[in-house]
Formats: sequence, C-alpha cells, structure tokens
Amino acid sequence: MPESFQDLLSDIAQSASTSTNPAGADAARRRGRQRTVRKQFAAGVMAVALIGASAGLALALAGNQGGAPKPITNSGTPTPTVSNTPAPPSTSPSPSNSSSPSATAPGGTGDLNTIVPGAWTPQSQFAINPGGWTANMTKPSINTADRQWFYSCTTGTLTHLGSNGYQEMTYKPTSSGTVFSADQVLFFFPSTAAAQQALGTIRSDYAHCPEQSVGVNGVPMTGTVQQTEQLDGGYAWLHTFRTAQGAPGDPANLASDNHEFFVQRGSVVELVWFGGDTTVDRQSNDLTFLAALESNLCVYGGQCPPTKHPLTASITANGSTALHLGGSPIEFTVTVSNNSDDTLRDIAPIVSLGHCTCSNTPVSMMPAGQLQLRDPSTGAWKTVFYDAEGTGMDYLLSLSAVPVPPFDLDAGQSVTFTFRVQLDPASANKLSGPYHLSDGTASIDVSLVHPVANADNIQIGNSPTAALPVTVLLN
Amino acid sequence: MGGELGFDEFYAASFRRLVGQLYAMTGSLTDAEDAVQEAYARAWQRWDKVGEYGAPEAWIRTVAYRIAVSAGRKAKNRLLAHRHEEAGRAQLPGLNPDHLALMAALRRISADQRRAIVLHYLVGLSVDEIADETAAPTGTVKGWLARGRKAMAPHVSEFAEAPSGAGHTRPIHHIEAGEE
Repeated sequence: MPESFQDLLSDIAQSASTSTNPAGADAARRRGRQRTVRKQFAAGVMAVALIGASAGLALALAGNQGGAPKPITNSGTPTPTVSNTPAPPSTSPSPSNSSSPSATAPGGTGDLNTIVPGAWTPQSQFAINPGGWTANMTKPSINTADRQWFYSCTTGTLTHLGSNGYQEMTYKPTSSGTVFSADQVLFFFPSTAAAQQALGTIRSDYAHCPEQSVGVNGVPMTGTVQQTEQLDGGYAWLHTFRTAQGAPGDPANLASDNHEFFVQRGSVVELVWFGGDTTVDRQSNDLTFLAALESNLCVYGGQCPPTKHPLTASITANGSTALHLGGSPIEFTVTVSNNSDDTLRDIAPIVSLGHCTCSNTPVSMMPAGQLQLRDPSTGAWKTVFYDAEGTGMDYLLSLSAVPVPPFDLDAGQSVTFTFRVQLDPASANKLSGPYHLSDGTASIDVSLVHPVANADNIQIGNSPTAALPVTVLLN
Repeated sequence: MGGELGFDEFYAASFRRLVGQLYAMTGSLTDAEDAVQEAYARAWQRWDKVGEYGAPEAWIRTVAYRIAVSAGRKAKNRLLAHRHEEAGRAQLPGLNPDHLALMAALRRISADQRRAIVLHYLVGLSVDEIADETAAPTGTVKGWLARGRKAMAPHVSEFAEAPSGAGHTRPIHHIEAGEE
C-alpha cells in the first residue's frame, strides 16, 4: 500500500530533522546577545502581536500578509514582545519597464514603483572577483517590507532610517564552485535630505559600531570594517571577520567577507553588496566601481558624472631626472593631498620604478638600485624597499612595499615625503644572452594604498596616481 | 518554562522538529536551520515572555518562517546553501523518489499554500489554528489549502478528484525533483 501524503511529508521533515546539526542553545543565546549590536536597517514596520488561540496559545502576526505592498510607516511602534521580528516581504505586482520611465515621482523624489533601467549598474561592470555575474531575476523586485543586512549600532528596535521601500536585484557568480553572492538594492526616501541623512547614519555606524566577537558557530573572531574608497557621496567598505587562525568567521546576518558600496543620489541610496566565505577581491578598483554606480544613479539627481578621487598624489623632481648607472642618486618629492571634506584614514604612498625602455628583457624591468626615504626630523636617509614593477600588481599589494606607516589626512591636508633613488652599477653585468641594457626612459611612479595587516594592500584610485619621467643612462 | 534551564530544555526538545517543519515550508535545509536558530536567538532575548506562552514552539515556527522568507536573510543563506552544496549536503539522506517528487510538487505551489499545507498535514493544526498562526482569516486559510491541494492534485493522488480505480494509483506522480 503506498504511503499517504501525510506520511511522505512526515518522512521528509524527519529526514531534515535528522540531518540538521543543532548549533545549540548556547549559540542561540550568543546570537541573541549579538543582535543588540547588529540590527536591521528598517525598511518596514514591525507590526506583530501575539494573541491566544484555541489550542491555548497561538500567535498571529498582525501584519502584511500578502496583498498589495504597503507603504512603510516608520512611526509604527513594535509591540515589545516581538519587536525584532521582521515583517514579511510584501511583493508588488511586477513593475512595467517602460521604454522611458520617469526617474522621479511628482515632487522630484524617486518613485519606488517605477523601475528605471538606466539607474542600475549592469553586472558586467561588477569588477569584483570571481568575475562574471549572472542575475537571479529578470527585473528588480519592489519591496516595502523589512530588509535585514545593514550594519547598525542601534539596540532594541529596528533602525528606522525612513526608507519608503526598496528595489532589489540579486546575482550569483556565473562560474560554479565560487561561494559568492551579490545584491544591488535601491532604497527610496521621501526626500534628498532624508537619503543624505540615512547614508550619514550608515557611515557613522560603520565607523563606530562594535563588531561581533563570536561567530554563530561559537568560534571567537575579529571583525574589521575598512573604508576603502569614497567619491562624491559614495562609499566603499570592506567588512571582514576572521578567527584567531585567520580563517573566515561566521557572523550572524553577514558573510565572512563583505565588500559593500553605498551611493546616494537624489532621494535614493544604493547598496551593492558582494559577500563570500572566502576573501572578497581587494584588488579591484573600488573608485571605478563607485564612479559607475554614481553615473547611473544620478538619474535621480545629484552630481553626475562624479569627479575624480579626492585623494591625490603628486611627484616632482628636486633636480636632475637623469639616472646614471652607478651614478649619483636623484631626489624627488611625493605629496599626498586630501581634497575632500572628510578625514581619510590609513593611507600610504608606494613608490615604484616603472618599466624601462633601457632593458630588452621580456618584462623590461628597471635595473636594480636603491631607494631611500629622508627622515624629516634628522635629515638621515633610510633605505626602503626598491620596488621595481614587473608583470603583475605585486609592486602595489605587498606590505613590504609600503615605505611609511599608514597615516590619516584631515580635510584639505597634505603631507610630503622626500625620496632618492640610484641605480646599481653592476646591473648591466647581471643580464646575459640576448639581454642587455642601453640608454632609455622610465618613470618613478607613486600609488596610494590602504595597508592591511596580514593581507594585500588595498589600492586607492588608479595606479600609478602620478609618475615622474626619468632618463636612464649607462654612462 | 522561564529561565535559562527552561530555554535549554525547550531548545533541545524542539529544534530538530522545527527544522523539519521549516524545511517542508521552505525546501531548503540551510534556510530552515539558520532561520530556526535565529528565531531561538530572538526568543532568548525575550524568553521571560516567550517562555511563558502556552506554545512557544508556535512562536519560534512563525518567527523562523518570517526570517526564512526575508530578503536580507536569503542573501546570507544563498552563501550558506552554496557552501553546503559544495560540501555535498545538497540532498537529504533517506529520501526516495516519492519524497523528492513530493518536494518538487510543493515547490510548485505558492508559499502561503505550502505553509498552510505543512501546518495542516505535518504539524496537525486545524484551519482555525492556522489562521491564528498566520494572522489570516479562516476563509483565506481554507482557500490556501483548497488551492494548494488542487494545484498538487496532478502529482498527489490523494488530492485528486476520486477517479475510477483511483485506489490503485501511486500517491505521488513522479516528476523531476528540480523541475519547475
């Protein structure tokens, strides 16, 4: 006799019950405590209530069961019993992608219920490992319900930032075997001022919130948030969790590695999140991606296109730019300036020797030499890493290439370093066979990075940020 | 049932059962595990109240369901699911083709219908109790159950109109588990 539907369903549930590995009550308690640190970014009302039922109890969630999307009323007061319980996601009928939709509703604010294709940055521009991305949906969803994911210090209740709702696209890596995910979300606010205020709160939280210290698996971990870029109202953060052994942590509500981009234009705040359980790409150019996001989102108003990165570097010679093999060093000055209205943190210049036409080797690397940094207080010269550029980005990413401790620059502040470089007279003798040196040209490059302990440096802007042309002479 | 000891006992006694129920509702063991664990975390934050309810298990189940269907949670769980798939945990052990076909049939109906059917046929709740748990009118619950049964009828003979000789058919019509 075949099994009944009820028996089959029971078997399935039993199989799941048997397969699961309970994390334990202790882990639940830890997770509960962590929730006082990491709360949700509210885009919805927590309208919930418990009521009794015929069985002696039951519960009813007084809220958004199905039906049309409901506007978010942030004045809603959660009941104290289940204030953190998310309201269900309410989905609206799919919006029509008209050929020329209006980006803004009457009154000049972004319209939650209108999908504006041009506001979305295509996944082909997602310059984050693992490379190719595929959308999980054909068009963005429109939501007015709660959305978790954001990083906030707020305790007790949801952080009400005042969003009317959000549009969302989700993505997965095109290639299999890579554990990554991506979301692109547009949050709509009643006004530009409200959107600016919301992003300000997010920035403040990212700068000050304490991190989870124990994963949901019970393993202690260290969380770090590092702002990697900022550009015209756009910000990029790298948010990671690691155990004492350096393995990825397992935080609640987040991946171990989160590369997050926030951009505000008009009354819309955009989030693009890349998450994974392995290291998220640090080498990509966050600035370029922020610029792409801003160039698209500015259909809702605000600056368009974005300006250049506010952190700049320059390099100037203090005399001759002729580098003689075995000759005297040439001296140059590197200046790093913060042209923004904010303090930029953990910055370091990297001075590297660019490719040289003086070498006919396949990589055309600069001949060996010595790079020195002058101590401004004593005038003494200190030898630092001679960083010749090769075929990859090693010259930029290695911590050993950083000649000075990372520093902060206040708004409008500049800092200057003096270097000198000379070429090893024996360089010519180190080449053999068909390879030889001759007179040629090269450059001394300066790039900017955020040094990261036990990891690759994070590139700031383009590399090089500035270059000093030099002549290489054998005699 | 208040107090830390009560919470531990409650957790130990109910966690696996609730994961099984949430799995039937969501079709994802990863979603179910994470949502149930998160629901326990939230329950702990207010255990003095939840623990005093007559049926805290219903509280956990409802909160876990809402967590499982929330957008942000899904983002994290996509990662977890991927990780588990990589580890070869994509399929539950001990399931035969009938089970897989049933799961595929459940995926074909709406989330509300699936939730109602699981609450009714697996958890054993009455229509009134489902209405209480889902905060929906009883008429709506009846509609979910009726439409869910009708939608699954091509695949579940129990839900089909009784044709002649129906007793000889298999309860589940096999379909590809991943078929949509």
